[in-house]
Amino acid sequence: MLKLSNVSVFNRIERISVDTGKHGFIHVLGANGSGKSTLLSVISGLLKPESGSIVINEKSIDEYSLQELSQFRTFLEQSQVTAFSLSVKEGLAFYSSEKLPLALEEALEVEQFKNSTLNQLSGGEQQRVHIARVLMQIWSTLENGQGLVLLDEPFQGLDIRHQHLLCHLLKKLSDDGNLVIISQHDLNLCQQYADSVWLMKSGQLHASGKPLEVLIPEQLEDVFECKIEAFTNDTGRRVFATALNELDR
Amino acid sequence: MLKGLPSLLSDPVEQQILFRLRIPLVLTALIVGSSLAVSAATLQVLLKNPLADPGIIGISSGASLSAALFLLTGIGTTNIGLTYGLPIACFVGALSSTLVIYVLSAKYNRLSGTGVILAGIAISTLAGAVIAWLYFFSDAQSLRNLTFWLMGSLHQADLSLSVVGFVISTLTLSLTVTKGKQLNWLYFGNRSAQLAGLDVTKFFKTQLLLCAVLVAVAVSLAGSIAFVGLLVPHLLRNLFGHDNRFILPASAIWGGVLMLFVIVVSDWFGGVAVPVSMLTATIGGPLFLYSLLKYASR
Repeated sequence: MLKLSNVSVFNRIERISVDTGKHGFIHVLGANGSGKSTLLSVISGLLKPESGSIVINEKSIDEYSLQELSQFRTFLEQSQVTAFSLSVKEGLAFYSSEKLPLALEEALEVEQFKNSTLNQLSGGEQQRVHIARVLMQIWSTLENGQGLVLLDEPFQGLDIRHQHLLCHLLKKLSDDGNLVIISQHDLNLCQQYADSVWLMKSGQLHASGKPLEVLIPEQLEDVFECKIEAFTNDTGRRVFATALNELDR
Repeated sequence: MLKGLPSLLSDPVEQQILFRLRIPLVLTALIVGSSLAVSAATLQVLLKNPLADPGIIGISSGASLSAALFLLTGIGTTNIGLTYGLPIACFVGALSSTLVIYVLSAKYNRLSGTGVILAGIAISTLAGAVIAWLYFFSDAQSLRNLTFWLMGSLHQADLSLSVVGFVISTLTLSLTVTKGKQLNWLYFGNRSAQLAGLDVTKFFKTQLLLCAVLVAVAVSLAGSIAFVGLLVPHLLRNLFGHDNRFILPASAIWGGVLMLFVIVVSDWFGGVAVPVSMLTATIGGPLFLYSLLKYASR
């Protein structure tokens, strides 16, 4: 669905080339400032790269109008602030005329906040509302399995249960035919849910592939500059333990 | 106001009053109320600042400056000059200050609300300084004219002028009150609106210009009128929520109604021409306070 060739943005990302399958759940990992958000911005069409090309569904991103992109692409940015005291209901209704879909409510549980003012909610609760908002924006496309979902650090503020609920939802959406790309920092969630991983380092795509191929301790230690070990737990799942250095353990 | 309508049409004196005084007065009130309220409602969302109002962002100070130049330099001493020259000067002044503000803010940071507001404050300050110097060097009669103008009056426009103003503002209003859906997308910033499919750069420019036209018409017909712009949308948002598909038309209606109410109140003072800003502040202050308290308790 998505093909990037030699995409560069000055000082942010450098010659990134990557090709995705038709659908899937992709996790972008990397240290702060490694270019994850810039990469998502570029894919969303909000930021024009200085060089390189982005092709979505066999068509260059430049050939899509903003209107056309808004029909199938949605993007959650890291900071969502408003100077107005909007209610949750309003925040959702302004970007979509549809009712809150059941699948979204099951994962994000925002119905209970409907009449609250957005700014009165906790950070994690606000984040759940914003995720619901951006997914609702293209919900009918997502139901048909034709959507492109970009979420920049969606787990910000989310409790453990909601992190898993969200992962389940996004996994389901990608299994249904949509392409879901998120940036995040949790190796275990990545191992557990991602179809593929893009590992970024200093603006470059350091490695990409299936979690088992990319999430190799030596490689991760190199990228994150800390101690990372992988274990296999009793149920046979790979889990990661991290520390600043040996002594911290 | 409308009582005894049948007798009006037969009595020539009453007819004169109707056409020369009443109709221009009511039209001016409607234009001023709707235009200021709708432009403020739009600007607040466009600039992401609930406190934005034509006064704060400097559109009206451009108009005030040209009014001051006009009145204090002695060009506007003839009756024709006062009736037609002054409104035209204000209109041009308001539009040119918008242009200057836009160019300045584009240098600062394209499309940022803060950029426009800062540029607006700079222009207001400059305009204020020039007006103060003009004050310093002017004679008593010109000063009275200017002071009166600066406090606003609904009695300045004649029939032809108020009809022209009505047509311009109605056309402009029809292009602004219908943009509620797009404005709603801007609540979470320009990028959210862009993601929803809006060409934000174009929209920002067009709506800023339309707001300037609305303010220019209002200011050139009635002088500088405080507070209506800030009050009406703010009150409506506190009472009915933030959906601009409702807030914009409602601002047009309630802005007009508020100014009609100002006419009724000023009628209580008989023949004395009460400055409008005095009345809008007297009525608006308590209403604003009420809406703040209501919001605080929610």
